[in-house]
Amino acid sequence: MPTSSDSAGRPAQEYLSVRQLTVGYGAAPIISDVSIEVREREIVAIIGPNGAGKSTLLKAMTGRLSPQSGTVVLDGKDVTGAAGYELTRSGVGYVPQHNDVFSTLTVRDNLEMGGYLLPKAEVEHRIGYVLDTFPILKPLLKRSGKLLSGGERKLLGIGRCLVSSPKILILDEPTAALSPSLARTILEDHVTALARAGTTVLLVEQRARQAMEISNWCYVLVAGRVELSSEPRSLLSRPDVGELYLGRPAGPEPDRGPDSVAGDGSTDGGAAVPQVAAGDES
Amino acid sequence: MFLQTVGFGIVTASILALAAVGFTVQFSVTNILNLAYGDVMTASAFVAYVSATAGLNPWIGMITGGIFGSLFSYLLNRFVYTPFIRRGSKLFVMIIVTISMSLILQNVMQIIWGPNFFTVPIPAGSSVRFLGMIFTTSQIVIIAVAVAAMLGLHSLLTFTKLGKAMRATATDPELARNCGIRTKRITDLAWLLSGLLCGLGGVALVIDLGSFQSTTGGEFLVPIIAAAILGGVGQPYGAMLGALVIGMATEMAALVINPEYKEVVAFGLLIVMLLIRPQGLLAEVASQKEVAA
Ligand SMILES: Nc1ncnc2c1ncn2[C@@H]1O[C@H](COP(=O)(O)OP(=O)(O)O)[C@@H](O)[C@H]1O
Ligand SMILES: [Mg+2]
Repeated sequence: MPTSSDSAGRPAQEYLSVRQLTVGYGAAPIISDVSIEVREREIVAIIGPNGAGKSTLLKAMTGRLSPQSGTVVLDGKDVTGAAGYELTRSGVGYVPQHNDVFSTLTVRDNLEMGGYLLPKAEVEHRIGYVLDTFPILKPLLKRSGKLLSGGERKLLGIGRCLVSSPKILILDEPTAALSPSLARTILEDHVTALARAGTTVLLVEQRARQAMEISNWCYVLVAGRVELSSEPRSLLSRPDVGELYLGRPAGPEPDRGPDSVAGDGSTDGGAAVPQVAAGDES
Repeated sequence: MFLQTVGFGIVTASILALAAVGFTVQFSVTNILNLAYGDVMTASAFVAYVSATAGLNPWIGMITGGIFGSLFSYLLNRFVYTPFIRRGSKLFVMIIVTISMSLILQNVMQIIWGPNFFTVPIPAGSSVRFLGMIFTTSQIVIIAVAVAAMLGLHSLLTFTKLGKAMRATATDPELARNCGIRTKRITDLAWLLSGLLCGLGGVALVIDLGSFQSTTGGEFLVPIIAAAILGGVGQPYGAMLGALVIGMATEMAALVINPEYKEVVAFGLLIVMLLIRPQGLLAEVASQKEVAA
């Protein structure tokens, strides 16, 4: 049974929500009867063990997968089954966990594609803003997306989204390829700054503790179901949460293992984990 | 003699470049390996033939053939390929569908025009000497059309938002949609554009050959695919380079061995490519699509 502390203290206006969502890749659902809501200007974190269905949930919210049942509501409008480009038009920005940049395009062209829906002059202006936010991208403008390190890649993926000034930014494990220090910068500086500036953020994170520290609300997804929906601070103080739902104690900084810690400077050759394209025909 | 062979090589490479680049753009953006491509070339050549014999300037045939190739490819996708994709057909099934389309097109052309050979009545024109090579007027036009098409395509893909959206869609259609790109429209445009190159290539081919029949374009598919693979499929610039290599190699083989072996040489190069460059066509296809059809 999902436990839920009451939602007092959350902003009143709901921005993006899913209700009783059931989604899968074939006949068998991966997530079942999932309901979550993200309110305006909130940072909402979704945490949970690998394979819980977090990415699948986000794909259903960004036009990549059509739900078997349930609804997706964006800013009061039912957008269940809407195509990705329609959601982008409505202000949804999405940085997927894998394949988050166009590997055949240069960094500059990637940013330009982020501003596909904007007038040309505004694209330039927004690219300037993104380069000021992520100065690390400045000297790389002409480099091909496939020649970026894991960290550069992820910043480009986020930067590409920011070009379009999304109303809601959906990030799927943005710090997985980053060093702990860069991860901290992304979460504690950039994401919080974006939220303060009025962008709503939906965040899937493996760094559960850090995600909870910056978020207004937190969902724990386990085996395709919402196990917990809670204000994060009360969750942080529960010793059982980490062990039960995250596969590790929630207390100390989550151990990321050696490969992901190396992320920042290391080149992974753009070898993102291969992922079968779903919803190809839409 | 050697220089003249280089000249032939340049002409063949120009025709191949038109055709192979179109083939590559089609595959990379739409993900359909359209093995009816050569037959659409033939059909475009017949349109050029009809418009020329109807009294239009024969060079207008290049334009009518190109436009036909463009529209026909678009319609082929819209009314034949897309319905199969919608029903969930995967790569291998789609290959069978395109082979069937190839046979149907060849047979329809057989029914209309029989097994006869046709010639687009291009006036011989004067010949031009260049660096020891001699080109006929029609060869010069073919080279010019190919160069113009390649430069045009290059500008489109490198400098325009539309061209970049095409490359983005070819790379990752889902991410493209999440950028706000209506990928279906981009795919439609890719069919129109690659079909234009296909039609131009078909007309150029039959003008260069002198005469053609209903199977001519289909027989040209091997060097086209060889050129496309040589450059790494999905890479227009690679296909241009591949066209140059295959064009030169086949003409050299014709000089040194025997003109009969042109196709064999192209096929041989194709096999060698697949052996030494596993990241060529098949590898790419296998990794990017669900192969279990
Ligand atoms: N494209 C796909 N096709 C089929 N199954 C998939 C696909 N992507 C993920 N899955 C399966 O869905 C389940 C949930 O995956 P995912 O949503 O990526 O989990 P998480 O993001 O929480 O780690 C896993 O069992 C995974 O194997
Ligand atoms: Mg995931």
